[in-house]
Amino acid sequence: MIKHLFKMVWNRKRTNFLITVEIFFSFLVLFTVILFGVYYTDNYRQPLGFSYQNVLNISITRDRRIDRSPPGEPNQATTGPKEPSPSLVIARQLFLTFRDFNEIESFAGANIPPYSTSTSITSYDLAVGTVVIYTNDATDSFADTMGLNVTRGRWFSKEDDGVGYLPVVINERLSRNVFGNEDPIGKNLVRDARPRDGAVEPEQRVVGVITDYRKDGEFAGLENYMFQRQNLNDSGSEPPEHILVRVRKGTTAEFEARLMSRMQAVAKDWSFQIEPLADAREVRLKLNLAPIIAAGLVAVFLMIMVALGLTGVLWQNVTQRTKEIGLRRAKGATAGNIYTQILGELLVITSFGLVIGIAVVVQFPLLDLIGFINDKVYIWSVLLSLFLIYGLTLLCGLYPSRLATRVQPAEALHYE
Amino acid sequence: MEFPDTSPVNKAIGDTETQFEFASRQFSPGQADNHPKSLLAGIAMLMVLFMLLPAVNLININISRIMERAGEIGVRKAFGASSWTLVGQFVVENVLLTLIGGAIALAGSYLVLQALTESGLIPYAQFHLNYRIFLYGLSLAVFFGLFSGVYPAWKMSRLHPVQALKGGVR
Repeated sequence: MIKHLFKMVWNRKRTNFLITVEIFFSFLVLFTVILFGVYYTDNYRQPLGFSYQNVLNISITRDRRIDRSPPGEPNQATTGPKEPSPSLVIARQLFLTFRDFNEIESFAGANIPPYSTSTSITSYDLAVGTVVIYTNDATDSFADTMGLNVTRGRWFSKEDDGVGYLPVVINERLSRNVFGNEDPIGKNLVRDARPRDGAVEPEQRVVGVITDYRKDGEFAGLENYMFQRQNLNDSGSEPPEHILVRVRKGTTAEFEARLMSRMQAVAKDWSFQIEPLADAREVRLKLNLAPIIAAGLVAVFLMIMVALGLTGVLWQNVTQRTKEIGLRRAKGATAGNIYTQILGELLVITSFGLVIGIAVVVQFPLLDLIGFINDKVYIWSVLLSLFLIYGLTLLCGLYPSRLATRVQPAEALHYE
Repeated sequence: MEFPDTSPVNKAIGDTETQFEFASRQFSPGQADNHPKSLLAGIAMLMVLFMLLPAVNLININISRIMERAGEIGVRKAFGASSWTLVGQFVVENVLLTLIGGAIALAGSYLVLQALTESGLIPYAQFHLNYRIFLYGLSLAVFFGLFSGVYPAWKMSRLHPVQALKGGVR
């Protein structure tokens, strides 16, 4: 039966070739769109690593010129224990002000807030090879404010004051990538000891591990992430770029206005922008979804068009083969036989197109074009695309093959 | 970013990327640099793929259409029309059809762009039609009209008059 179907398809290879090509392209288009769709869905289902509810993000814009040493004087960094910069003094006062508010559960400074589009990336040359790490600076209360889950060790605290190394907290993925199954606590992230301004930078030592933290939001993939400690009590430190404030449930926008005027009173020359993280999240999700929705819409339209075209072509084929079908009916084939034959041929043609399509699609992971997509997502996408294409062609073949079963032998054999 | 030694800035945090470079980072996670060029190449490949599909579909439909018009072709051939005349006729017909389709699609895309701007799916983006895009669209419609018309026309011109008149094509 199957051998026979192949023969029938081969005998009409000219006509079938174009259908095969069409199915091949449909598969490629569908696969590309579905791959990103599945990738996003898979990301969305992974834990985020922090909670954005009831958190306000305060962005600070400040004039940095007040921290500059006057011309002619030696740079502060080279002389002994230094005075805190004017900006740092303001930041400390600002942090004190926050304690007066009843509505604030906790607050923390950070240089890059969640859902922000800014990113800080550093390449480390480690024993395991080059590791790309997303970095951020945060104060001691950041873990509480953002609801991070510390799985090993601890978050930054007073214990880190005055130690000879730079404490860092890394996420589980980074820990796996660099330290494997070993316990990373107390180990150094060995950096190329590159002297800067004559002094060797202190090494970075892991003090804690958090669950996977995805700053870029629900749709983003998981990255290596590392927090460095930002300590405002250290006179040499820079004020944070953002302050994240966790407020009590039910706090209204009226609070934001009060907070704003208090901040403005403390830091007259700075300007602030208060935005709930939930709003930033909304914007970020839309930004991520836009291209995939656009591509998806185009793909849906293409599939409808392909379905219409394919139905037309199959219909035409059946009309052309009236004689052949009539002869089969006259020789005793049942309507079911004809039905199976037409649909069977269609399945063979579809499979030809899909085999070529899969041969192309297999090259993506082989050539490492989509390294960030894991095997599970890839295999699901292939299966889903196969399923949809088979479904589509079967749907297109239903009506023409029903038409074929209605052929009356007597009429068909008369047909000129 | 690099800063000269005299610069008061020793650390830069913020958006130093264009929107497109930022988007390219989204599609190449885990890499230190963004790759706007490879994103552009990817989009171009996808666009070609997206347009090849309707072209192949059109070829398929056109071939079916010739079969329907076998009688007409047979008559024209029998009265001495050359193959080239027939190819010309068919290609011109096809380009005309795609142009009409293009015009309808242009009106449709105007509506879609307006809906897209209003929906706020892409924050702060404004979409408008302009002459450049209109010309791009027009040339694409003509190109795919030609592309999808040539093979069916060539196939049609090879029909044998006698067979065509009988209405049978193999």
